[in-house]
Amino acid sequence: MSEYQPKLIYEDFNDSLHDLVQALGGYKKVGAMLWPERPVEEAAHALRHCLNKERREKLSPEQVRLLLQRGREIEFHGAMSFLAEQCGYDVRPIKPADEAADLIRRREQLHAELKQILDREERLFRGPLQVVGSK
Amino acid sequence: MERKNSTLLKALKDVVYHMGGAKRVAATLWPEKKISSAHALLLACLDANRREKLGSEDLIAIIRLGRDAGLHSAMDAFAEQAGYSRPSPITRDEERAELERRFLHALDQSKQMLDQLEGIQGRLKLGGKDK
Repeated sequence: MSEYQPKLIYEDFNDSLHDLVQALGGYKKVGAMLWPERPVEEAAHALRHCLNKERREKLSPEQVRLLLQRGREIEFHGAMSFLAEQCGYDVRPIKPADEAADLIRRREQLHAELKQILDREERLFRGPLQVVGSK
Repeated sequence: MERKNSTLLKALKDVVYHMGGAKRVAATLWPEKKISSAHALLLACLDANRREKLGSEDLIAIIRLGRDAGLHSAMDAFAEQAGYSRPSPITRDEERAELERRFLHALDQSKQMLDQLEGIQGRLKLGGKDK
């Protein structure tokens, strides 16, 4: 669990992301994670601007997702909960073990679906058409 | 990163498409702008190769529009990719109940802090008398 004490109430989504950035180690660390190609100070500055609603700079949806994902990894769910709540949803973090089980379940589903498709294909091509073709 | 992974943008585009298209959604998001410029801006925001990006409030508004119409792909994409369970839509009543619960929790915490503060002030007064 993250040792950072999250705020009780957020003003807006940017406020919750700011809290998340603090929990992840601050603007320099997180800025460098988002823009590894930029000098640290510049990246930190850019991130501050992105979370300031008075500024034009914004994070891309993928960068927001990355922050939320890093938050989940340190069990800091404030920003994700805020986003979900504002959008009218309830979400729960998935533990890595559950995630692995979920991936296995989905892989098995996909395999079963693929097998069904292959079976149908086989039936189709072994049907009358193939018989006609072989004559 | 942005150009390689555009699943989220695709999910947002799906919602916009199903809500009547970029022009209609842009007019809802930015009623103060001219329809043509709002439309162009939204198209740019949904294009991973453009610099324009959706603000957090716009992002929420699009996901919310989808949710209200029963289209959950955008929130599903965020949750799944960030390692969360499939989000379940909550009703307005549930939302209100949750807000009430959090309000009461915040009140309770505030009362606890006040009690602690009074305790500290009491000890400080006692300390003052000792001197």
